[in-house]
Amino acid sequence: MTSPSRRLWSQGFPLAAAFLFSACSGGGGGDAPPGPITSPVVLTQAVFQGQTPADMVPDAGDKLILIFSGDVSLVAAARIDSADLSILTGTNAGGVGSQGNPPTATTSRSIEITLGAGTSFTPGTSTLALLADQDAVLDSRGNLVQTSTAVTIKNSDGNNPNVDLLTLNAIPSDLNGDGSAGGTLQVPPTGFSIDLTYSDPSSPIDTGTLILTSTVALQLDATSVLAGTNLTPLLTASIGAGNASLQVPGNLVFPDGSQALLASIADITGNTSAIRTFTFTVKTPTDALRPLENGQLWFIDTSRDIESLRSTTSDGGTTINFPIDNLPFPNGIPDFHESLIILGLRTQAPIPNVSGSKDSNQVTRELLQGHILTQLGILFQGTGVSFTFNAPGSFPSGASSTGYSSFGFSQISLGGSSDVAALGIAQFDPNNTRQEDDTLHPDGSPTAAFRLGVFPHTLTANGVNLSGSYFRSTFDAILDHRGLPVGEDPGDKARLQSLLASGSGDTRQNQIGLALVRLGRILAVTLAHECGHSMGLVQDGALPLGIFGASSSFPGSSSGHLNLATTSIFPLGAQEVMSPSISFQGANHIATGFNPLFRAYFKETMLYGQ
Amino acid sequence: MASSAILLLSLLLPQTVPAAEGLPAFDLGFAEADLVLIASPKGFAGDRIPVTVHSILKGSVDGQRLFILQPRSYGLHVRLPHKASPHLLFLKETPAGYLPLQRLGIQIPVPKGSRRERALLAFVQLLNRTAASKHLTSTRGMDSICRDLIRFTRSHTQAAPLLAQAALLTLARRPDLAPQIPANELQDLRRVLSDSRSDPTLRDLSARCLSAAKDPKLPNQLLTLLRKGEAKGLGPVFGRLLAAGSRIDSKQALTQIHKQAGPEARPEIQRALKVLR
Repeated sequence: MTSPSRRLWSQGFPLAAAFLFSACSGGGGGDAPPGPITSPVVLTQAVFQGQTPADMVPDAGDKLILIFSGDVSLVAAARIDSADLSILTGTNAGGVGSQGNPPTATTSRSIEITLGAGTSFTPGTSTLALLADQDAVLDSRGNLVQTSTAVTIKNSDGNNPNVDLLTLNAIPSDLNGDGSAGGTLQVPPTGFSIDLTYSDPSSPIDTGTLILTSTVALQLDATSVLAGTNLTPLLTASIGAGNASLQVPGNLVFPDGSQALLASIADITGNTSAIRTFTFTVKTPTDALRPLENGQLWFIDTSRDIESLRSTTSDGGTTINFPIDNLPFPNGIPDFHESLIILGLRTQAPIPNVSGSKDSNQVTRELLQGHILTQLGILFQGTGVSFTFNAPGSFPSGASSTGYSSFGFSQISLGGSSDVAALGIAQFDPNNTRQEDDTLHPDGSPTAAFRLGVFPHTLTANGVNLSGSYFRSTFDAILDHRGLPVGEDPGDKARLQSLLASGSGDTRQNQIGLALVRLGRILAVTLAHECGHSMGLVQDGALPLGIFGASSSFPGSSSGHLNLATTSIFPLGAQEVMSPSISFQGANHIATGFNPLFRAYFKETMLYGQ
Repeated sequence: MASSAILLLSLLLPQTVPAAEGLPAFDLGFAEADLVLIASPKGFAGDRIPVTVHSILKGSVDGQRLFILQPRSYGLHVRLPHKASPHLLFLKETPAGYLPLQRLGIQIPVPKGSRRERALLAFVQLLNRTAASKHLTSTRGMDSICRDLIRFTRSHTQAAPLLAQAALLTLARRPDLAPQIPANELQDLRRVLSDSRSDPTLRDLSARCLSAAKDPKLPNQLLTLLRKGEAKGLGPVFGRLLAAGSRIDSKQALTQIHKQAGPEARPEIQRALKVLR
C-alpha cells in the first residue's frame, strides 16, 4: 500500500485534470451557485491486441481496444477511422486501416476496433487521440465524447485484471450482502471507507487507472457531484499493487437510499478489468441507531461477593476438587479474589513491599488487570469504547439498565462462577440505547434470572483436571495445591518486579508471566463478547435489520451470536469474538477479534436497524 | 433487555485446538445439572416451555410435565427446541425456575427406542457411577468404572462416536480414577494411540487417559510416534503431555528427535516444541 494521499492529483492522471477543470468552472460567478462536479468521459487507454502478446506488428484482423473513463455507447453503424482518430508515431501519421465493420462494445466503458488493411502504428510508441469531430462514441448522456490528451498505444499481454472485491469498511463478501447470507449493507452518508482488492495473472496493476463511480449524485460541501463522476480524486486514497482503501471525507456526502458503486482498474499493458458493482444503502443515523454517539465507558467490577469458592485436593494436587461447600453465599472475600487464589495468582500470605508498599497479591492483580485493559484496547481499537477497573460512580439504584444518554457508564462483574455453566452472561441491548448493569444476580436487587458477568471459575473447572489441556500447560506450575502460587516463593518479589519492568527472568518468571498474559487475554475476549452483547451485538437477521445473529448461512451461529468458523475471515486457530463459544486457546490466538462488520458497527461506519 | 451468554468450548473448534478440548462436556454437565432427563418440549407457554418427561436420569420431579424457563427476551445460546422429539436435557434449578445448562453440544436428540437411546442410557449410567466414585474412600470398584468407560468407547465408536469420545474424555478428566485402569485396558489405549489410522480424537483422548493414569511407557511412545511421523495433528497435545508428566527433559528430547526425523515428521515435532516455549 502506498501512504494515504490523493496521489492521483500529482500523477497527472487525465481524469484528475478533467475533474479540476469542471469543478472550478461554475465557481467564479459571485452569487451564482457552484456548478455540479462531473468528470467528462474521456479516452484513458488504447491497447493493441495482436495474435499473441509477442505480436507487436499490427495487421488486418488484429484488435485495438479503446477504454474510457465512464460509460460509453456507439453510434449505430458508425465506423472509427482517420476522421475520428489521430495516430502519430513521432511526427508521422498512422491509422487503423480501412474499416469493414463498425466497432463493438466490449464493456460499458470500452470498445473494440478490428484493424483493417493499411493499418499503421507502433505499439508502445505511437500515440492516439480522439479528434474533436469524432462522430462514433457517445457518453452516457448521449453526447459525443470529446477530444482529450493523446494516450500511448500499449501492447496487450492478453490478460485482463480483475477487481476481486469491492466493498465498504473492508467488510468481506461473506458479511457485506454479497454472500449467501444476503442482505444489504447500510452505512451513514459519510465517513466510511471504500475498499478494493484486485489482481492480474501476468502484469502489474497500473494503480493510476482506478476508476470509481457512483450511480447517484453526491454532495461535496455545497456542490453536487454528478452520478458517473470518477470519485477517486475526491477520496483520501491509498492505492497499492493488490488493494486499495479510499476514505470518504466528511465533506463528501452520499444521499440516503439504495445506490451502487462501480469500479474498474487496468494493468500496465492497458487491459482493463470488468466493472465490479457493489450495491448498498445509505441512512442518516439517528441517536437511536448510533451505538456510540457519546462513546461508551465500561466499569469492570471485581468486588462482587456472592459465593464462597475454594479448591481442595486429596492426592497431592493430581486432582483438584471444588467441594460442595462452595456455596452461593458471600464470605467477605470478592469472588474474583477467590478465583485468583484457586488459579495460584493470589496467596494468603503475600510478600510485602514488592512495588512500593504494594504486596505480591496487589502487584499480581495489577499486572493481570493491565493485561486485560491492554487486550481490550486492542480489541476495541479505533472505537469509542473504553474500560476501567476504577468505579466512575454508582449505578442507579434498583435499575438493571438506564437510558444511554442519562448516565455515564455501564458495568459488568468479573469473578466467580456462573450458575448455568457459562463463561459469561450479559444483557442484550440492540443499538446500545441503554447503559447496562451486568453485575446483577438472582439474589440481588433488582434481581436477574441468573448471574451476570464474566466467570473465570468456569474456565478453571473445564481444564483443571484434563491432562494435556491448554489450561494445565498454563497454570499447573502455579495452581493452588498443584504448583507453587505466586507470592509463595521468596524469589517471586524479584520476579514480579522484573515483570513490572518487562524484564526477562528465569523459568518460573516466564510461567507466571505466561499465566497472566493468557488469563488476561481470555478474560478480555470474554469481556469484549459480553459487553458486545450489551452494546448491540449480534442482532438476529440479515442486513440491514440485523447483523447475521442466528444466520443459517454461518453454521454454529445462534441467537445473538455469529460463528465464522466456516469462512476464511479469520485464520486457522483464531475466531470471531461473538462466536457462541470460545476456547482458552482460541481466545489466545493473536488474530482472534471482532470481524470487520462488527468493527464498523463500533466505529459507526455501518448501521443496522430502521 | 435480553441476555446472552458465551460458552466455553465448541463443536466447531479450529483444527489447531486439540480435538478433545472441543468435545461436549457431558461429564461436567452431568455433575453441574440438578436435573437430567429425556423429555419432549411442547411449544411455548408464555416465557416457559412445557416438556413431557420420558425418563429422569438425575434428580427428581413431580409428574410427567415440567416447565422450563426460557424468556423470549433472553438470548441464551442453549435453547430448547420447540415441539421437538425427545431430547437429553441438562437443567439447573435457579430461583426463577429450571434453566437449560449453558454447555454446548450436550442437549442432543434421543429418538425413542433407538440405538442412540440405548447407548445414551448406558452412558448416563456410567456418568452416574463415575460421579459417585468421587465419594469412594478406597480404590475398590474404580477399576471396573475405568474398564467400563473404555469398553463403552470401544463398543460405540461406530454407532455413537460422540458418546464414545465423551466416555474417554470423562476418564481423561479424572486423574484420581485413571491410575486404576486395568493393565489390559491400558494396553488397548496404547494400541489405539499407536494406530495412525485410528480417529485422531480417540488417539488424542487415549494419550490423555494414559497420561492421567501415569503410564510410564507414555513418554517414549509419544516421542516414537512423533519421530516416525505418525502423530499428525497431535503435536501440541503430545508436547503438553510430555512437559507435564515426563521425567525426561521434554525440550531436549524433542529437539533430539527433530534432528533424527524425516521431513514429514518435523512439522508436528515443531508444533510439539512450540507449546514448550
